[in-house]
Amino acid sequence: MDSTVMSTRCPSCGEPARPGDVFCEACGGRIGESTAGAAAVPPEPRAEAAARVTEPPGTEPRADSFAAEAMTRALTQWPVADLPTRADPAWPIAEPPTRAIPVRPVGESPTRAVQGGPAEPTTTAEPAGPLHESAPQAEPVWPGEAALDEAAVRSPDARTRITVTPVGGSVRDSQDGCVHCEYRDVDEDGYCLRCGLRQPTGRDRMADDVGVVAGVSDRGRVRESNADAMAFGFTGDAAQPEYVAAVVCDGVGSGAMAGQAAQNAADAGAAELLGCLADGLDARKASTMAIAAAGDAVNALAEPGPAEEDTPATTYVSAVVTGAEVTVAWLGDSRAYWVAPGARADAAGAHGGPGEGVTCLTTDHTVRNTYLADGMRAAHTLTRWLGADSDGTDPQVSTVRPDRAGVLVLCTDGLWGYLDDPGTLAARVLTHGSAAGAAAGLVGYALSEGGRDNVAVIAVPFPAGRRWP
Amino acid sequence: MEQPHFDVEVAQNRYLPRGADTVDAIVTVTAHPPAQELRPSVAVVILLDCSASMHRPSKLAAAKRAAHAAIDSLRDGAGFAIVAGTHETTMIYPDSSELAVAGDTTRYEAKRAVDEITAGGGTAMSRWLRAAGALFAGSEYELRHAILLTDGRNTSEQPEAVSAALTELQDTFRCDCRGVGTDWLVSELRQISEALLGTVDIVAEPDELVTDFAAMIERAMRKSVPDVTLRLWTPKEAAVTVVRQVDPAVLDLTAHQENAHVQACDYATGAWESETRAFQVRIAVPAAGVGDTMLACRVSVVDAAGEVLGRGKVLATWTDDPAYYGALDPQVAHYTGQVELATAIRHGLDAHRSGDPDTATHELGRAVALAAQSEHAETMKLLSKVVDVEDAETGRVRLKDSVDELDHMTLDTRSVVTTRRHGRS
Ligand SMILES: [Zn+2]
Ligand SMILES: [Zn+2]
Repeated sequence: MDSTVMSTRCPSCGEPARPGDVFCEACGGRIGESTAGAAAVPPEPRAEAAARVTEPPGTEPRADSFAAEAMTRALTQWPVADLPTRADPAWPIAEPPTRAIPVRPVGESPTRAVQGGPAEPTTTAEPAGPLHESAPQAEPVWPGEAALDEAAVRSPDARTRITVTPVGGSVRDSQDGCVHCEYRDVDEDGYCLRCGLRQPTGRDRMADDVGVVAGVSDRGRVRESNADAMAFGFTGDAAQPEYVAAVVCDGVGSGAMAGQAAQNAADAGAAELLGCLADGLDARKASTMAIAAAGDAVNALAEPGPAEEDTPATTYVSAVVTGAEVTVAWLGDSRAYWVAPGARADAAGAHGGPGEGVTCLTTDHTVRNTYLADGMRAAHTLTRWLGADSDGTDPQVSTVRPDRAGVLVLCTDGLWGYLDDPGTLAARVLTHGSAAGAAAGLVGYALSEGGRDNVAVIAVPFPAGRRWP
Repeated sequence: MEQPHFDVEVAQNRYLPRGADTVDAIVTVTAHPPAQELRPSVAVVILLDCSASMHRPSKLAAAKRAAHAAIDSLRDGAGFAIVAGTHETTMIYPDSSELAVAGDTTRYEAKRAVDEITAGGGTAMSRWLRAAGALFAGSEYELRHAILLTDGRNTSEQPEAVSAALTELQDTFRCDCRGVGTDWLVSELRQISEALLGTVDIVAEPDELVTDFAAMIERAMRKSVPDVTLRLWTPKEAAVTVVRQVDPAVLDLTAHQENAHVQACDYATGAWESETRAFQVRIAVPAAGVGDTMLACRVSVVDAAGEVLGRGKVLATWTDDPAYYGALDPQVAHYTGQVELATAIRHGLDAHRSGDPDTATHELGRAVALAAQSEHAETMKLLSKVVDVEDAETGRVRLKDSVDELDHMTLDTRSVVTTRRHGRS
């Protein structure tokens, strides 16, 4: 701690600084990069531990405290979207969608890996409980990944590891600076030192990246809260996953209930999907079972009685990506797109599956589509959805076998509402070099076009396990 | 070393409707100065009008008695000087161009010198102000306070001469102005007091000068934090459009601005004692998205050395919910009303003077309504000497057939004095 050397003047403008000041009161410049705050962070006990925490090593301390605060805030706002707080290493091993997940023979207790922080770095990835004994001894798990939160579920034969990443919380990509103007410095309260805008917290912006799949969701520029949600994960080893699964939901309505319904559905759907796949069910069967589980998780929110106003409902689109095929299942108007290098859109590949260009794999369940044949002009109204007042969960499932490497994109209407030309999507996805880059880029595009609606985008490179086509 | 500290309180409704680009706030600042013995050094220069018009015995004698009272109120060690002002200036005491140091001997000598003053000559206030500026400039005193006493108009020079002197002298010392009788111009003294962050008042009876001068000196002696600055940081592409003190009196600070840094402006507020002042701040911001929150302004109180003594934040959150953006903050509403009140009085009196009774009646009626609404009893009393109030609530008034010049000028001078919001805890 003897490195705590306080500069007493701002290095950029010479203004006097008080002890503890991180930014200059006058010019907003940073005062002393390696001051008290940095010294207060204990050293990481192990190399792996560094890989398990939210921020990569070297991240500034203010981001740390900000993320912790944001997560705490998110916890109070969203009691069901359980997030670990670094401040609470004894964060309970709770299963958010448990009450909604139908009883299953395996994995009924998706054991969540607690990111307990530096204190207990190696045990966190191991499932607790009886399964622990049968597990092979801990090796560094998913080295190099920076997931906020993962739930590790193990089937009884302990051959398959499932990693679910419910993205219900908040990750601020602090190293990127202000999300509004990209200025590098944000103050300790989360206000940008250039544009003054507060950085998004809680559900305002969610982002996660596990390499083989990544997603970003943003409140947008017009809505006051984010009712989009996403969850994703994979089975097996991160380097060679058997299945990659992802769910995107768009809560119906605008209240808190909408966001909660969407997050419940995404979390429960992704957990069930990966559980079924690990059990050996085929992707189509797993997809419909996951939708049933997601529906239960949404309906569990419904209050008994005639509360008409705030009934929980959401759209749902899921994808299962393997080394050979892509299975999508959906209810409502959230979409799945196939994007592959090439100029032509909507082209069939050599084997009848999607080839180069962009193909929308889903058909919106909206009034407009239902009556399109009659030439009626109808409002953008859902005809199928998940949750309250749904006339029976009747999802559509579709499987394609692409003939080349590409990227599967799941998104809500917050993105596709701005995609007049499918070529836009291809151009915007393929300029990036990673799933995380593509997801962030597409969300950024929606925001730059006005961000009228919440937006959620998940990108999954195909075939499963590829970091990028 | 004990530091003074300042409490900064921000009153605002931070919720704005979609697309709105104006943020209003009332920033209330309360000073907590250090203990008495740590107080800064102080110097006072008394500028006495000794033009021919002062020759009327009662006036000059009263001015001399007032100067005596002022000298007696100086604490030991304070710097001081007495300057006689006409179309030129004469050092009354000391006779050098350096400030004297208050003590038994110098106080005695100074009073004897004051007794010798005779009246004669014109009035060139810019020279008086420059003389005070020169005395302060050659000294090390931290608190610099001038008192200007006149009974007439600035007839010996062009108005531009005063403007030029004020531009030069702004924020180098504080100047309280006093007008005796009714032959001086409120606008002339107000220009000086606003530029030099002081007060202006009318002294109806020469005899009142004695208590007034003693009170001014005592107040100057109580000032304990010199050269306090309000520093306003705003986001890029945002700008401070209004900064004015609204309590205890309306005082526009926009002209007292200095660009401190790329995104921050400094506004001089002069010296502080243990006191509370309120400031109205308006910021033009680029409208952000619904749901976004912006730090529209960081307010800091900064001393002469650049030390931050207190801070506050003005925020803005855009929403589509009228229940949020529709509510007016009571403090903002109150002081906006007080500024309107001062403006209405001034417009009304100007119209009255220029022979436009319709506008005068309308504006002064509005002033009566605003004074009634804010329960500003003092201003209401002054207004009722100029108009007959038929219905205060609606502002229905009739101009008095003849208005005493003294009442007219008193209302004008004191129009800027605001009242605090009643019912505030
Ligand atoms: Zn600086
Ligand atoms: Zn910014």
